[in-house]
Amino acid sequence: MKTISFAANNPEEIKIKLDKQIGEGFSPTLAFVFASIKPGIHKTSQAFKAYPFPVFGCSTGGNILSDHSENCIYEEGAVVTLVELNEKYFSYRIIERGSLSSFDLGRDIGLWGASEFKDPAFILVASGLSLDGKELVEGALDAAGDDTIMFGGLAGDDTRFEQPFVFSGKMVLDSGAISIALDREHIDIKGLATSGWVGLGKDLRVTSATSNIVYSIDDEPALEVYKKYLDVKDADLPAIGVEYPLLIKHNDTYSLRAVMGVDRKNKALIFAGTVPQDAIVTFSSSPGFEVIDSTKEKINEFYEKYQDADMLLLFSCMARYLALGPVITEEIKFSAEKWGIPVSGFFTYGEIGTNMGSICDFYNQTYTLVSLKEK
Amino acid sequence: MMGKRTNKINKIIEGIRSFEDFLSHKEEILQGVQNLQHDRQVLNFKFERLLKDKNVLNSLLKKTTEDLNNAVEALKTRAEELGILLSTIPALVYFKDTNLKYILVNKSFERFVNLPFYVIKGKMVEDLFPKYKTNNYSEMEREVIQSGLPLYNIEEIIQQGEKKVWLSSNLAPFRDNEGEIIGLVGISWDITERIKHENELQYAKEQAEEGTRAKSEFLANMSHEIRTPMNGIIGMAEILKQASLGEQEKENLEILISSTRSLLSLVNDVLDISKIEAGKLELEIEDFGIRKVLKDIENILYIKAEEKILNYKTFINPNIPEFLRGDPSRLKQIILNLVNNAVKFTEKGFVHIFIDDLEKHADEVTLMVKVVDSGIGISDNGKKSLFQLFSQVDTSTTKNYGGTGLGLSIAKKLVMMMQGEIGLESEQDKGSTFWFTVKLEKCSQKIVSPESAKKKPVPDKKPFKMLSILLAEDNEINQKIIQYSLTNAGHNVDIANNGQEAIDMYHAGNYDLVLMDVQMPVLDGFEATAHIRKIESAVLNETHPTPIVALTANAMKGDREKCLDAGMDEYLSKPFTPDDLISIIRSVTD
Repeated sequence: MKTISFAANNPEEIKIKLDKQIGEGFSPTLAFVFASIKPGIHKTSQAFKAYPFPVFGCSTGGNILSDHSENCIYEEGAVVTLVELNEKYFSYRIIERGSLSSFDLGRDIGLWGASEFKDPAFILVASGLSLDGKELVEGALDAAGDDTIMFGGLAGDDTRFEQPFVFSGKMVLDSGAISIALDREHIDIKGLATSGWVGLGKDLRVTSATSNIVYSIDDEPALEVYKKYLDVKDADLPAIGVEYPLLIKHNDTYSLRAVMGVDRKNKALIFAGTVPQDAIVTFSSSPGFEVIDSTKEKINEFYEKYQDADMLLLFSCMARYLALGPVITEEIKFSAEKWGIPVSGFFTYGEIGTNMGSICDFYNQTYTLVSLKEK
Repeated sequence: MMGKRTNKINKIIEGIRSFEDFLSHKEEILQGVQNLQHDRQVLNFKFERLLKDKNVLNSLLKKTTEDLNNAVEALKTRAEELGILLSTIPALVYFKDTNLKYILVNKSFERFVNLPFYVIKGKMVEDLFPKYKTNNYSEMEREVIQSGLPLYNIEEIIQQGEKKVWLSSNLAPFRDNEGEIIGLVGISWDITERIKHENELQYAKEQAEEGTRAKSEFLANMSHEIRTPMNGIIGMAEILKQASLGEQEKENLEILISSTRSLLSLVNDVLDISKIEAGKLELEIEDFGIRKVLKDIENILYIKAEEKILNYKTFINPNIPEFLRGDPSRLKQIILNLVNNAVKFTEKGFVHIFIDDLEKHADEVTLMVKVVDSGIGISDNGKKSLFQLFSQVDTSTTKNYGGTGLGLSIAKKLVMMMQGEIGLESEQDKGSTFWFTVKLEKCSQKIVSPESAKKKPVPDKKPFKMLSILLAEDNEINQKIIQYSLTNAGHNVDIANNGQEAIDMYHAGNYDLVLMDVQMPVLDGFEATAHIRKIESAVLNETHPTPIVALTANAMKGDREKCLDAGMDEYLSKPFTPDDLISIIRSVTD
């Protein structure tokens, strides 16, 4: 597996750089494209129209490329990673969601992957603010098996929370998914997902919720609860709810759910993943900039186990970027320096991953790193 | 960090002596400035971030503190409410640790032991109740702690100062959040008053039962006393019937006999009621043929029904076994009562009896008996108290149809004893359906029905040999009736006035048969029979014992068995007709 990554400020620059890279004895068979919506997603998509390889593209909350250059976050333009990989080792699919539920969309992907390879692993992105990431993952696992490896994230839209997209070189979908199924007989795929967020304040009970829409907490409208407890204005949501997500308490574990949208009529909040009714939740926050130290520790542990990698992909939560600002470059660069290869990825509205061999799940607030290695 | 970078740039600048120097350090200075700008950006972000976090966290802290305060306030209120509940509850409430030491008690408890809580705390039950044998109670408390199961209604008497107090206690374990038992809670009520009332009630109950027993005995005795003269009336009337009488006299005599039989029926009913009330009525369970029971009823009532030109029919499900196990005479009594009523209250149309089996088990059947008539029917009002004692549809019923209103009440009680139900469906002027169910055991094999063995012998007209009969009977009227009947049939009769006389006369004479009254002065019939049997075997060395037939007015359960056990051969209940007497004599002497 060979990769070449670059950042470009606009679609024109993408074309120039593509022509340059492809002309130098490098024949990519797949492109990962993480793009800002500012230049126009359609234009970015069309920049790839003339090329034969499939494009795994999505709009983001910020594009990541950590290589030899000083900068590693690109809020304008796009980050492109071209991959030269035997086409028999992977399969590509772009799906329009249409009327499918989040669960059925996941099932569709899972069934497709399982029909392509005996032992598939998935990299996927999905768009749509109403999409329930948790159900998407559960649907995929339901079809492909509970121990299926899966990494990816929910597309962003430069923190506008209006309309994220997924795209190929031929189409742009405001509600859909792109998935790559990898043949694990030929590709090793490993990953790490770490959050570090901590719960704050008293336990609250979700008193009314359907899937990823929470109507009331402790019998008060969810929107009002956020405003009251965090002392914020109506307009601060949903953004503030990305930085201070709900922490859902399970028996021994917890999961985080960031706010993705607001149903102002019903004073309800739409989260990136399922929030079960009757769940016990608290607010949560980054513990401060020290969270980076904890992330580095986890990266070190992961590196000690899986030092060989041809390619690193990073799905880092938008909330981390908002909370850590320019300091976040430390944890991004840390991985690139550790493996000595570029890290490309984007700031997501929700991450999909498995943490060092555990069962795949949907997360928020995590640093989800994926290493790929051709066997 | 910024200070270091600034110092580094300052040092470079300070070292610049010429334009060439500047050019050679230009890149380094620019990089330094760029780094400074980045550091400034990071610091600015951190500052803004911390400000934002501070605001949000302050708000969260404030709200959380408010929530905590509210929760503490709510807990305080709850604690106060619980305190009020504990102190006002009219029971002794206490909490103990696993060493059975008091850790909390309520006001009632303090008042009961007359000690303040600080003295009670840490004490054990034996410290507070030195006169009370506490071993048992402590054992029970320990059991609750060990088993984790509550104990209820422990009733004990406790010496408290000068008083003795009955306490009823419930004990239950209590656990921490992890489910570990960390003590027990006990609640005790002073039940002294209740126990007193219970004792009074028990005494009253015993008194009432004693009264009922006395009443029952009185009725049984009365029944005996009434039966004896009635025996005389019926006997004499039967004798009179044989004389040549005018039509008017015959009619008068029939009225006399029929009235006496009604009276006898009433006496039997009263006797049944008294037995039921005294709890002395027991079913005599034996194998019997159900179809035979129905035939007997038909024999009794068919003529009456025919007189009224009623269509009288019995329908029995052929699947019902031939032989069942139960009390045939009581079953007959129930059916007879219902059918008799049906015939009585139906002027035209039909009286039909249906017998079906409701439930079939391997060894049991539930019979449903329905008596359907086209009679006068019963109004809704009349149905309400129909199965109660002395109840009839209305007073006019008694006037028009007679009866005591005891029959249905007895039938209901008998049905209940046979684990069944009884009821009716009826409309005024549209007939009635009386029904009942009874549970009967199945007979595993066909048996010779004791009913048939016991059946009243039908007198036949064939001639028989003259017998020498010893009649032991103390009642003069009965003596005369029996003597008349027997002499009239061609037998010789000697009379003994009591049991002793009977023994003496039997010893001295040579009798073919002894008729033995049971209740007699000097020596009763049982003892006299026993003596006679002894004389037969020891003195006379008789190989063929003389038949002895008991004559008794006792209609209580077990009389027949008692007579047979005493060595008698047959049993005849008073009052009886001359035909009954002749038949039974024939059955034991043929």
